[in-house]
Amino acid sequence: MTRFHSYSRSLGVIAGLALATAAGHASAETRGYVVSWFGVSTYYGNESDCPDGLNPMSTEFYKRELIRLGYSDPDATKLLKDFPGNPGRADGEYIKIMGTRGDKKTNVYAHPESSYDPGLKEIKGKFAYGFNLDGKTDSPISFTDPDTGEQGIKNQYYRTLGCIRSFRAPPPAHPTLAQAQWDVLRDEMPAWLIEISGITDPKNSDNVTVTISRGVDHISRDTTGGVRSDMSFKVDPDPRTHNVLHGSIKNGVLTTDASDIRIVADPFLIPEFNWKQARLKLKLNDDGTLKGILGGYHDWYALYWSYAESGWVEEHSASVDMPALYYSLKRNADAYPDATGQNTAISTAYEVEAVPAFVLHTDDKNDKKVSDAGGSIQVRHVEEANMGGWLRKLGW
Amino acid sequence: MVMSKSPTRFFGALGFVAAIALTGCGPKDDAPVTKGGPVSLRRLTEPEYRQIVADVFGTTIKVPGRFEPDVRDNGLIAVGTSRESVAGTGLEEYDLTARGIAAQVVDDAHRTTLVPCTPAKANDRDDACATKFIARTGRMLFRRPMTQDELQTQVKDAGEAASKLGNFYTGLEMSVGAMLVSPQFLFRQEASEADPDNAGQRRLDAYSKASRLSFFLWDTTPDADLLEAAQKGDLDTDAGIAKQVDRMTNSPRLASGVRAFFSDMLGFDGFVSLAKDPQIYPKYSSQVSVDAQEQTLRTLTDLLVTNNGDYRDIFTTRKTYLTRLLGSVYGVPVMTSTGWEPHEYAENDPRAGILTEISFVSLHSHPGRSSPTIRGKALRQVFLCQKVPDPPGNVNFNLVNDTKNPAFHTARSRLGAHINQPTCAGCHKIMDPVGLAMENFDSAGGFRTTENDVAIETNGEIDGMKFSDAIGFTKAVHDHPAVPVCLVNRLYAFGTGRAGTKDEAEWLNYQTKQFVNSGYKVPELMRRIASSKAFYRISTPGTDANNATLSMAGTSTQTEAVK
Amino acid sequence: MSASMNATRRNVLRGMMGGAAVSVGLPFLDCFLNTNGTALASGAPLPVAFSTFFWGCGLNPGRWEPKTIGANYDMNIESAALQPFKSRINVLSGFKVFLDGKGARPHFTGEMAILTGDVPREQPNYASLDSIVADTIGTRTRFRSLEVTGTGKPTDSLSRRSASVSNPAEISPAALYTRVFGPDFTDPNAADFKPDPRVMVRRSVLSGVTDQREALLKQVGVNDRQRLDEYFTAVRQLEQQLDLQLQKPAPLEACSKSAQPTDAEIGTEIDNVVANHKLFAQILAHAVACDQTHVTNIVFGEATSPLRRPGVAMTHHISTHEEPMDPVLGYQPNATYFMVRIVESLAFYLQTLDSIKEGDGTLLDRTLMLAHSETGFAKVHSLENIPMFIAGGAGGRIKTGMHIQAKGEPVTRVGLTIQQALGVPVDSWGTMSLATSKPISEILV
Repeated sequence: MTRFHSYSRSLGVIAGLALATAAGHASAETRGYVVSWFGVSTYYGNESDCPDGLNPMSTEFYKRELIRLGYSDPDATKLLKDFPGNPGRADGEYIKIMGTRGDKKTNVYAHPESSYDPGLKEIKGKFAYGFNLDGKTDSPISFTDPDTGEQGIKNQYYRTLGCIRSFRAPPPAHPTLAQAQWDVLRDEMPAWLIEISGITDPKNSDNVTVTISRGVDHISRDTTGGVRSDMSFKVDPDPRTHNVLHGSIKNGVLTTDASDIRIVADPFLIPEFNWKQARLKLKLNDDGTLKGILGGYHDWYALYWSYAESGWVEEHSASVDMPALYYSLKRNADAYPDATGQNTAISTAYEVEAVPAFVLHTDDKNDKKVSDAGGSIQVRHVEEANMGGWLRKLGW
Repeated sequence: MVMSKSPTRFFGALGFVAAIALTGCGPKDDAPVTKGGPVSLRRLTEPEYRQIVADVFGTTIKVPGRFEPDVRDNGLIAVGTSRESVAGTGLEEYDLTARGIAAQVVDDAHRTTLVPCTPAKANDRDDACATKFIARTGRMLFRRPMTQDELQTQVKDAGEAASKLGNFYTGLEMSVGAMLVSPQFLFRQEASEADPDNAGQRRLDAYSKASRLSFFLWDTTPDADLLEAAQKGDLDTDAGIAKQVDRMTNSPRLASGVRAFFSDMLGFDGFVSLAKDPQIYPKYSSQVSVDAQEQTLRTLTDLLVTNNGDYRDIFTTRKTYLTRLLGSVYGVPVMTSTGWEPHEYAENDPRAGILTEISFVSLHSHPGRSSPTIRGKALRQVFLCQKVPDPPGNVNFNLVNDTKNPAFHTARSRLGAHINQPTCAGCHKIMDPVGLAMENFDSAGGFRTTENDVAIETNGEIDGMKFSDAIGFTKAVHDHPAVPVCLVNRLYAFGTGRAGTKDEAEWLNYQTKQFVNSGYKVPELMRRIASSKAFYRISTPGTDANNATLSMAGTSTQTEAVK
Repeated sequence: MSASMNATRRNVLRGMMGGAAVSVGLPFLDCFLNTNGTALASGAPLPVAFSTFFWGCGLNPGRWEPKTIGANYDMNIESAALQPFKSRINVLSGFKVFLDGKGARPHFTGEMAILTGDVPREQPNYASLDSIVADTIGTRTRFRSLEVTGTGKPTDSLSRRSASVSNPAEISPAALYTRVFGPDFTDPNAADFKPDPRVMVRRSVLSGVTDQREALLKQVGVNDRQRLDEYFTAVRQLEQQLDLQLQKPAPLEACSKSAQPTDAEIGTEIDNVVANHKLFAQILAHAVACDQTHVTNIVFGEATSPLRRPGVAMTHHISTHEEPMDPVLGYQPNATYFMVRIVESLAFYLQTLDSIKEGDGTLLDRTLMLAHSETGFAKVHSLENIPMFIAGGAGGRIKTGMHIQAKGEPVTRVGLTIQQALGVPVDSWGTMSLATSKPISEILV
């Protein structure tokens, strides 16, 4: 079995690195991470976010729809009483009514335009996280970053989702739906990996490269339920799962230039993300972890379908009125117009957190079996020094 | 590393009297004659039980149930088993387990391979077929042929059960269940006989020899070949013993024996009740503790068996094996997604040898903090066979327990204050300097250079050998003269189920010298012990005057002799 | 015991096995005596009972688990109703579910991990804990187990014989009453008694072991003779247990029919669910007291808890997700209302078991109850710190009155502990990362 070599975390080596950095002629360093949290970024302010109020609960808008469809108030109440799980009655009857509420025959989730626009209550506040994706500060859709005061932030996706209860949570809590989705996926999906190379000083480095890729291994947890740090992850050799961005670190915060980012995810969340003009802003925390934002333009219909494909399930449990969501996204889309002038993409921002990990590369031509358990694995090379784990211990 | 070998420092600390130098050592391969010890009656350990079931009935048979915990005596469970019995609840567990196994043995999936004949009628007794099955199975389970009485009883019971319940195989099932709870199976009962070559002396009978050999070298019941050798009388000749020992030490199964011995000696049964505070050590999961034991056993068998290495190198070897999970604790990358891969610590790595592995440092720590004292004590007891007294009952441990005391940032400073109490100082001097060397490893096996932001000092000394860090410490242990003495004593006790006697001290000294001269090769040592006459010699009743167990002082005498 | 007495007993047994009719009062004199030989062994322990109590959507983290670990704890706010029973309850916090890369299915994965030791991708892969236990303690009763559910759907039963066979639950207390105490109910005191032939065979075979005693003792020295004698004493105890199984059972003084119930409306409205739960609790407790079953399973409400209050649109389940956290209280008031009602109902069940006196103890003393939910914090479907309680003395097989905090340990340790306490021959349980061979030894006697 081939060994990878020159890999150690001995005291001597750590001391050597520290010295080299202090002396100012350090070789660039690469740090590895595994994503431990990923979810849509929502700013939680106060009532001024949603001056029109929050969107109704599913039980409320379902009743509204039943009455619109001609059911009497007592009949509608009776239908709703114990849904789901009304004893002696199949859930299907009710679901069928709701699932075809547009024109009484078409699947309203697949064909939201079969329904009228019930009107989604949207964010009208001033603040949101994200990036100034189009470089304009005077646009009427601009938000202000609540932490840095940066003007011109574009995050129309938040404008659509922000007044739905399941997307609202006071920090440090994450919004319910995003938390529930990520909780399931982080154990189930191959891990998402981040490497930052070219770090000459973790506080200030002018020219760093950020690679986002998919692993072949799953994350594992520690005894507190958190994502276990310092685990090893092999990178999926498929180059389509790799994204390379360029950027710099200033005062401990990494920002990148705009680039397209493609991340293969999971149908439970979205089969894959495809951002245009995407960028990252990540703080390199002293404990070795990363925390920040990924923002970019995304095909809004794909985002709609990521919720609507579950039909009544997420509509009901997360109280997302799907036709209302559809019309809102369509209305708020702000980039990449098609021939008719309808914008096809919407500005988005997502929260990203990551913990130190060993990110390992294998020769994609000869390592077809890297994900097999227990087989003899031919390791071609290991990237030098992607060692977030160690540096955390040094207190950097 | 500065080393100063001062016998007074080495033994003075424990108040040892460095005594008799060995006199009258005979020609090189002429071992001193011993008087032997008593025959033993040893309860099977859980690993032995499981291995036997796998060997006799196949690995597809599950062993359901739990086992009574084993007791440790003279540093080994193998010795403790010579004191254990079976109490009411324990027998209930054995009975449940036995019935669970018996039902599988005769089920549709197994009966065709395990039952050597087909009954005339499946719904009634067939004594001829039952006799074939029971005689064959009983011979393996009882480690000797069944007596006529035993066989007849089993066949009769199986027959009556078969008629009563209308199923031949249910009859066999009942019989297997009964054999698995019988004392002949649960206890390794040895028998002795007069030694025809040495008038007035006794030795183990042939089947008892076969059992000793097999459990010592392979950690399981004798196989067919060995039982046949016993039956033919081969085991009553030196040549016959030598032939079997050669066969068995050259078999890959020797690794099982080595693993069993070290699991026992290293006290790995302690992991069952080991707990770590999850908030302080979030990486220490149950699986980490399982992997940590396996890592050490793989390190040991790879070095000692596969590579026939120097035993002392277990303390200094940089070669080991890792899983991804262990990699996250050690902070090193591991490529293999699931399973093990070899790993070599770098030359300047703070880790080397099994003392710096997770298994040792975590097993000998508190749930929420490391313990130089416990580690120091464990090192002396486990690897040097020294006995360290328990603390007096009225000690106030508040000072050492409080890891957040602003006046004492590190374990060294806390212990320094603690041992100002005169009743404690004597013993702590023996334990703490040893354990402090490993303070870079926290209670869960993680590496650290500071405690409460204060740099950890790891310098110290063991019995006159000074060191500045864990690596220096492991080298000092490597060169400690008690290391080979202790191993020889432990291995002999593991094989015989009893601590060596004073009468056997000279013989153990001799074996230790051979071990040292052979380059500290463990398989060779096991071969020598298994081939020796002493291993099979039984004391004559009434002449047990010299059967007093070898004490610590006895061990130290041997240490002196080796030096 | 002399060899000749052995032989006598053996022959009597052989006689029993040969003939169908068995008269009580066999000359088993030595077996029927207690160890002092001073009294008849009429104080044979009553059989141990196992019970589960399940509810959906958990409890609020930090508000249900005691603030201190170990013995002498006090119940936290949401578990306050259990305070009178705290010395007979172990609170189990911090246990979690490992997924091994399999997705968590909300309101399904948690209960599967606890009850089957496995995270199934779709359908359950294994029998449930109560069925495993019933195979050991419930094989000789009229019902191997009894299942009820409070929210009206018979399929809301978590008890399953195997991957494919589920034990459907009763939804109506009246129907359960008829099933247990209706025409098919026979007074345990009046029934004819037929001993189990398999037990007879085991008893006989075990005598074969005892018969070797003299021969073996001859071969060993004094110390080892003592050890072997201890072993043979244990064999004799086992023989006595089997003898008891071959006897006509002792009269069950505590056995009486429960009151004829009248169902409250079957549905999801909390007051009705609680009312029916009380009826279920009574019937099940009396069923165990009358030895009709040793295993009972209560689903208070299904996992996606459909409990509702009149006039409030959000069900319990929906509240856990959608109801805002009260900024002052720090929890969701409506969701929490249901949680408190559920814990009160659990306390009522314990009270019911404890009210049935059996000799010096109560039915609760010989019951081992596992009360658990399926999620830690329902708002996010967390699979950590799922609320679990073990109650009752299990006939002296477990110790109670402790708060066991096992952060990050697999939930399967609980199931393994229960199986071992109840005599299931198992040394490890669970699949993949849920596999454990570590029972909670602190509570095992």
